[in-house]
Amino acid sequence: MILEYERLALKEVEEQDGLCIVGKGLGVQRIISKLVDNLCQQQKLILGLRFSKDWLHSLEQWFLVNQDIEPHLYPREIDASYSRAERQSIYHLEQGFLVVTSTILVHDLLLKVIPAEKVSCMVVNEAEFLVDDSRIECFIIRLLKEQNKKCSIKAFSERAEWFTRGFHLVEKAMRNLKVTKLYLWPRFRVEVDQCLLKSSGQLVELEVRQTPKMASLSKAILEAMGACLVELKRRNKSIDVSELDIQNALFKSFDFVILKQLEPMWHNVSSYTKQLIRDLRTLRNILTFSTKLNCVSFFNFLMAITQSEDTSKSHWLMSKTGEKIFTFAKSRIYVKSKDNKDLERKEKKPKFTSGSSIPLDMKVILEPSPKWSVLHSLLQEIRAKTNGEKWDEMLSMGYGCRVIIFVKDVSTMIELSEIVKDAKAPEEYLRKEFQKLMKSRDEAIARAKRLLAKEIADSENFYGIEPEPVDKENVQEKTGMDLASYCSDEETLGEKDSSRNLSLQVPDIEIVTLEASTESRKGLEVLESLKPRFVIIYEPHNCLIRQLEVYQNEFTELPLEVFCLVYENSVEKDKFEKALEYEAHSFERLIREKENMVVFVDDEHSNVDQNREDTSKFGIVEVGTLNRDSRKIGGRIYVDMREFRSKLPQLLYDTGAELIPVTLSIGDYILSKSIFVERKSLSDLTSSLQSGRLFSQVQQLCRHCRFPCLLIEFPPGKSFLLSSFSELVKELNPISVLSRLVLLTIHFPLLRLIWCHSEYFCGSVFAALKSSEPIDELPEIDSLVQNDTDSKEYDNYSAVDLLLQLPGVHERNVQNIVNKFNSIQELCNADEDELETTFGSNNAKIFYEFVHSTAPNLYEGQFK
Amino acid sequence: DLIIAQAKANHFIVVNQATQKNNPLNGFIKQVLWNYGNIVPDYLLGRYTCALFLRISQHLLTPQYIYDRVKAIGKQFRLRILVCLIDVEDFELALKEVTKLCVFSEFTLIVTRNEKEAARYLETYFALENKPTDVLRERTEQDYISKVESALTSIPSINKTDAMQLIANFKTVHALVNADVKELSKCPGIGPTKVQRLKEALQMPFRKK
Repeated sequence: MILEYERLALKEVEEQDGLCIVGKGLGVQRIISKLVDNLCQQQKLILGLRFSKDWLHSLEQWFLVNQDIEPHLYPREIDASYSRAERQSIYHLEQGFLVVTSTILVHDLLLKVIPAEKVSCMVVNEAEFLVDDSRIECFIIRLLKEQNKKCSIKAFSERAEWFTRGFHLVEKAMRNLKVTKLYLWPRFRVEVDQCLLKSSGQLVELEVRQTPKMASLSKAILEAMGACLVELKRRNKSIDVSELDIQNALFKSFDFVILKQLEPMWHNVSSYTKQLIRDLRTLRNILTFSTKLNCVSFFNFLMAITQSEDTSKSHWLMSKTGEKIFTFAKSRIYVKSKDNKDLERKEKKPKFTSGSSIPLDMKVILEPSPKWSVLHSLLQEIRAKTNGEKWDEMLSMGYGCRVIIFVKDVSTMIELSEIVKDAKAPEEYLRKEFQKLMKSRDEAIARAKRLLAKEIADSENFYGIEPEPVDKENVQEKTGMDLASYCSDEETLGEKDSSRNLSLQVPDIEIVTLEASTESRKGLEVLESLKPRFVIIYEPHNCLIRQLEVYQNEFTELPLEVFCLVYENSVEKDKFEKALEYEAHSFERLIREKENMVVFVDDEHSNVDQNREDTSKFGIVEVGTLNRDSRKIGGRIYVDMREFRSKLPQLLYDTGAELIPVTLSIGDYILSKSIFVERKSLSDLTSSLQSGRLFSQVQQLCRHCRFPCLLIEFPPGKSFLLSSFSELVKELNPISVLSRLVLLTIHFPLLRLIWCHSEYFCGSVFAALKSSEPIDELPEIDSLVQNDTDSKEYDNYSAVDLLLQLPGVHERNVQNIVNKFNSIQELCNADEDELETTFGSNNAKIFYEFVHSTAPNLYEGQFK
Repeated sequence: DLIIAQAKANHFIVVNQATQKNNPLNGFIKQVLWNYGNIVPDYLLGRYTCALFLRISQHLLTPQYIYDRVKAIGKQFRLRILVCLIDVEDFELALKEVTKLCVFSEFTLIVTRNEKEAARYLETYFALENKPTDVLRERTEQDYISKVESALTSIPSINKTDAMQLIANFKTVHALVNADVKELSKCPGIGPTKVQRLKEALQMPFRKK
């Protein structure tokens, strides 16, 4: 069943192609599902873009429930596991809903494996990503539209704010989508409002007071953010500060705004400013987690943050407010009692007594989160209301469960599942968590001792004296004892740990996680399948609140009571309200923009004009002057499959080149017989110069062609500087990126460097190089291609990339490793002997040690 | 010529007296010695290496200049460098031309926006001319934390903070690699996308089928 306004929206988009932007939580997934359903019934070939596995699963569920189409038309995902022939046979069935992995789709479109003229419709999910015309999705739509003008495009988005982060982004997205209509469905639209007002349930917002320590903690974090902001404004007079206030700094989009402003002068931005921006990001994270996590996990989180921050650079970390943050976080766990202070001074090591494993002077507090107790009383109230027979009655009315608690992530869910058991649970839970924290600290101490012992033993070994194994055991035993004595019920702890389940055993209460990426679908799905009597929203959630409205209108016969827990006067609340405001504001802007929008008509002629306009903006004339009809000028270029993630192939296509996607073993682009290009982004350059990979790649490159080129691609706006300002005043550093690059060119005088600051520029340089070479003269490809695309060498790029980063793995042995072992997991579980045959003994040892050694203590100096 | 002989023995950089006399860049060459001399290229950086220097602003005024200079050097020297300093905002067309020239005349192009860095390139070329490639062939030693960091951050969408959260929670790489979805999601900041990416890199096979 779908609601009135959903039907209207569907009708609109079915009649004419367009971009449909729907308010969060208003059921865009149901509109899409219905659309796909209708299309599938017409027995046509439909393609889907940006549909995740998860999404497809929901879609399948929808089909199963509605049962109006045959199973062979069910959505299918086509990824690298299908061979070219298999894909071809699927395409030629010419029906059903296919979601093809982007790179494969580009490949198939370029080589005309897919019969484009048979594709009747393309459904685009998450259309907000198409505001960025470097996305591969834009290329796909372009290729498809070129091969089949009649193919209709229906795009959906529910992130209105993304379209208002710059000028004319909707128009840009629509241009990329090649649609002319914009449909807006905000929550405040009359049709939506009327429909949802018909039956509105009861929502009780419960304001929970923060503990004084929590309040001062968030105050300290805000203070630190404020300090960063002031400093940022002071240092960068040129940036527009009107939007840079602390309210905006709470949102991720703040980074976007500020980076956008600094982009044109990024090469002049001091490292101090860059650090400030990083600091703000870190602090925002800390702020979010300060209300979200319990006191122990938060402390744990804070410790890991300090480890990842460069303490010498980070400004807030060493400041007074930074210290405050740590003090408050600590004070929620323990306080030092004053009486024992003198005692502590005498003995430097933490003192253990038989009663507890913690230092004597530490008084453990473990402040529970205030929401827990509120949750408890709420649940009790609900139980009282619906006791016994009453509940049976409700079941017969159609309710599925008593209470759903919605949380935002899995860790909260696991936490709550412990908490809701009984009134005493919170204490217990915190104690266990704290115990874990202490354990890792104790382990660290033990390890330090062990290492020390080993070192002594080693040195003694050197002199021919037997090591004393007793030493190690002693240490372990001691820590074990301490732990056991602190927490008497250690066995239950172990048991709990092993039996943690995603589904919960607590009767009548379902705890459901709604993560940002799936919230729009899952919320309604859960409600529809569980049909609760009560809903508790543990963390305020604007998408969910709308979904509850939608749900209530669907099932008007089942009254629902909703409780929302929110901290009073907290950042959490601010953020929630601000997000709603922000969305409404974005929609208002979009409505205004829609009024003044110049609708372009998509035909060949305007397309060429478009190209010209786009490129002239970037000061490149040549690209624009080549239009689609003079395709042959460009000739053919071999492009590595992996490259399709970037915009460059798309731009080369603009210059009129014919792209041939292959998997190359040498280089990324082959422009002609004599020009091979290896593309490296700045970060890739740095890491591959360090790992030694670039050296062997360049060696290969130089053997195979006359003009081997290394393309160095700088991030947009951050151009042409390899060293930081501070590096330049110091002495020559033989291992800096600059020095390594210099050394590389000294040893390969044949290597040509191409420096690029944007993909547009890159495209035009390629065109210039290609134009001075004989047309269509391409080398024999067989020797350069790893394999044909049907059985690619390395399918799982991220696994192989990671593998190459691991100690003991080199270009030399990576081939062996991939042949012998199935996955990184298998590799890490192998024993040393197994490794030795593939790695070589020295590397095997290095690798094994890396995998099995324990991370150094993150808590050093925190429990003095 | 004595100066050139000394320069070739790697005593100092020779700066072209005629063309680079008033170049403020020379003032930034501080780490190595330099001297004026009568040479064909702009800078002589050792026995086999020479360099030309070009400002984009200058190129925009006299486009023919650099072509003549490149031609004059021809195929002398094993390594020919062209240091290009970008000192105007509207540089794309000029840089494209220079890039093309360098590729086909077999010059190694160095581009920078900063005079100090341009000088640093010259110094480095001079200093490293006779150095072996060892630094390039093998990776540098890192401590445990940065090893873990560089490994994990090679996975798309995993950043430094995530890497630290992960290793702090699992303690060993072995444990991390064997973790399931639930355990991974327990780490603060690790959402479903990141979990998916982690699983793909750590547990999925290198090759599909």
